[in-house]
Amino acid sequence: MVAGPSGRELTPDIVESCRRGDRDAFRALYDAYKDKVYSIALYFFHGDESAASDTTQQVFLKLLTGIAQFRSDAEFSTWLYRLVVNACLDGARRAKPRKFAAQAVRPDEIAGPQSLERDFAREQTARSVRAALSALPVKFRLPLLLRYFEDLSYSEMAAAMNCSMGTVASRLNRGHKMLAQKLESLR
Amino acid sequence: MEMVKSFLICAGAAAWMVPYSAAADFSLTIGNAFAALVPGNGSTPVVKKTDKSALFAVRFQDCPSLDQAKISGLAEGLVAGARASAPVNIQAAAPGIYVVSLAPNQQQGLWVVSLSATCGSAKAGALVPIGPQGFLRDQIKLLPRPATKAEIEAALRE
Amino acid sequence: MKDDLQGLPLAKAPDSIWTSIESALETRLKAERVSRRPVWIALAAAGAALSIGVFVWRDMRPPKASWEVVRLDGKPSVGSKPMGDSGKIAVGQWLQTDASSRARIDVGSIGTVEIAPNTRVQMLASGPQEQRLRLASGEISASVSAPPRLFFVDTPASTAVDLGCAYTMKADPEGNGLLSVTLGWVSLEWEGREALVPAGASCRTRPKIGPGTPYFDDASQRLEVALAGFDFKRGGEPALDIVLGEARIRDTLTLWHLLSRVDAADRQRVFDRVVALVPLPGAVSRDKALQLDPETLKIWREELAWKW
Repeated sequence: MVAGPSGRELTPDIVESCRRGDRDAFRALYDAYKDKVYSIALYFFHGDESAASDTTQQVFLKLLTGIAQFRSDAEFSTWLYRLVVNACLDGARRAKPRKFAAQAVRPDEIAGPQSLERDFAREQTARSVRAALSALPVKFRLPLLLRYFEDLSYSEMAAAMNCSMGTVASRLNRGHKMLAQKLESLR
Repeated sequence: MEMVKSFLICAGAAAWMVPYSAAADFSLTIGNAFAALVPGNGSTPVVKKTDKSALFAVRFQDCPSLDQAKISGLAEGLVAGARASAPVNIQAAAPGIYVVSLAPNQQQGLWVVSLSATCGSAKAGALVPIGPQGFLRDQIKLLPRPATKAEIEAALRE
Repeated sequence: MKDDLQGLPLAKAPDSIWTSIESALETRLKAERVSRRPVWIALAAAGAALSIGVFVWRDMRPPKASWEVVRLDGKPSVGSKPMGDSGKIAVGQWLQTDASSRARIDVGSIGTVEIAPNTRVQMLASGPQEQRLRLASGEISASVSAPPRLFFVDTPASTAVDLGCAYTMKADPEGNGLLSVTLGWVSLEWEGREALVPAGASCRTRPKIGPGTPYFDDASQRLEVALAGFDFKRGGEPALDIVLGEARIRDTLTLWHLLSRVDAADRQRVFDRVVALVPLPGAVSRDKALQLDPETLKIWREELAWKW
């Protein structure tokens, strides 16, 4: 059972309380899942924090308005991640390349008198992984993120992505191979 | 017995003198306007926080009777070569802490703000030169009484 | 298989997301009459019956909170649509300027925010307890006259909390930020890390680190460079040595903040440098200051501020 930061355990009652409009219950639900939802969206959208924030907000608002239709026999997190998958895919379809003219703010003006070097090993690794992930097609990126952050089972992922378990397995397999190749080329 | 009497007299005198001594040390501290509004110091929003005309802040030091504290000020200056005087606004931000601002439509020129303060019977003063970027900290003169005319003229000539 | 994504950290969802959600909830939950009307629908086809529970929100939403926007130059857009000379921005909407456009947002009755070219901001909340904006990238200049902690600007690396002030905030596309205060005070906050920045001072911010250490704009270049190294590049003792050596009396703003950012071994050095520049006030205990007692540090800061 997941516990929110407030310490309130996420019991099945929480979902029921949300359906009754209990705001504290919704907050507990939000707190329990927000970072994972945000992280999946963030890495899906190539580190775009604005897109990730918008997606996260969208997911939880949809969750609230749709919670009356949630059947308590279904796994809540599966339903939640279906919302995440749909929101990410919708965002990817809508996304147009953003055109910014020459920047009024010079990066080095903010970065400091000297340009900053990302010389932390951990940051370098994360960067490589993010870059490799960004290079993957959407259909491979999502299952990798769902698996990594939420450790969903194949059947849970199939339900979230609305596809067969075989498709999930295939996409994970190919996705990992592509990721490994990309990481190798970045080293 | 005589020793006890002497002791009591001295103790009484000392007790009477303590507030006098503190007030005798009475002086002013001058700082940036934001010093009067340090977050969490209990200052009231009496002073408009975006008052761009704020020149500096002033604090009463060693004034045991802040309820008797008084402060006034005048900007003395040279405008287009001619001698001029202009009022300044002094607003309390917290007990014993004030923000000094220019009056509206203050003319451009060379100005020195002359402050006069009292704490009970003790007095203090300050001459605070004002430059284009604000008050000139290094040229502040703190005085044990209000500035004299000669001191004001000397500050304007510096 | 999960190992391939090792090193990908769990990102913390910004607090502003909940604020936006709450704002949207406010319009529904406040006006709602929770009427749970289960609606049973019998499907006659093939004798089967289905029942669906429907939760009905009574739609009495008041108009969305919004701010007035004035076009200053060019063609800013609100919600992807170019705006005329004036318009509104509602909660959740984005305002974007290109290289030749500028705009001004009137934040309720408490102040204004000027939007520079090539800037993207989002309105997050407008209410009696909170007025909040997000700066995704670009530059804004805010001038606010309001009780403290009413106006907030979220950036990728910190939240700027207005304490009665005017300031400029910049953020580049990588999330690096620079706050420069022209009047009053601004608090920069991020995950428990705080920097109090007064007029005439600036503070850099970095994603995943938050606010750096504030410094006065007239501090030496050497101090500024060393400070950035200390804050964001693990510059350690060499950087600290330079900061301590370059510090003037008013740079005790920087040193005061460093007290709680250096390890215990260096704290004594920082403390000694501060008191060498400005004698320790009588009301401040040396031991408690070195133990980072919050009340002691607060009193010390109030005293030091008269020298800044």
